[in-house]
Amino acid sequence: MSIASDETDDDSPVYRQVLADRDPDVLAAIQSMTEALGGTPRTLDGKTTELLNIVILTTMRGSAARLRAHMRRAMSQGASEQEILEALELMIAPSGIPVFEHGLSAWAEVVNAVELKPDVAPFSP
Amino acid sequence: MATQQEKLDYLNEYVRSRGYAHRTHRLLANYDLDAFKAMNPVPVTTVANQRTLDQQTKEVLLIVNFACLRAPRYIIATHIRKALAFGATEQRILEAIEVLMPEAGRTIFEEALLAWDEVVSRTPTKRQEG
Repeated sequence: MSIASDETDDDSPVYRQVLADRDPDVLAAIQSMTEALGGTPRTLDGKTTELLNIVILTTMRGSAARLRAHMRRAMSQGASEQEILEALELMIAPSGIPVFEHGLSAWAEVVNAVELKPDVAPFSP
Repeated sequence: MATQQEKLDYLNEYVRSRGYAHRTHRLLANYDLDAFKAMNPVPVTTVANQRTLDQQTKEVLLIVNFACLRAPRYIIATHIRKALAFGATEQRILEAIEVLMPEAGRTIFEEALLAWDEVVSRTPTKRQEG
């Protein structure tokens, strides 16, 4: 069995590939739970559910690939780039800069963010 | 050095604008008002100010953020109360907490669920540090 890197954006995490091969019963149970707890819109709309997943995965330091996948899904559900950025910024005070940076890095890749380059050299007066 | 009145004025304004002051805030107000003032602009800008995300959504997101951080239950409960105050239903908050299960696990989910239960059933939180 070939296991794709978790750094790909195919939205198929390694655990899913391994369980499909080695323990499909557990994979089916996980998929059933995930579908029931957020996959099917109930009171929460799909966009908010995806924002929740982004916050949870960022705080839990989930893989960048899975974060990017949820950001793309959030955008397909109507979330703007700015709304996702603001969701990440909410975490600065409670979680600290490193957690925020983890999410921001994934966001920058998804939205093809362009960095503003300074005119002056580093350490210049 | 700030006077006691200046400390109290700042803390009162904090409570008015945010709806709460946890023990951390009350201690900082009393012992290091300068540090408290320096920290405050970040949550004011990212949470309190109205920008693109509405206040209810922000509070719902903060509930799961604090749960993932294993924050004390009273902090999670505070943000559940704020989400309710901004119009979220008990069911909507419960569903947000349930999204925790697959990615954050049962331990984190259960703590948030207990906070939710304390708020909606009006039972006092066991840990009253806040």
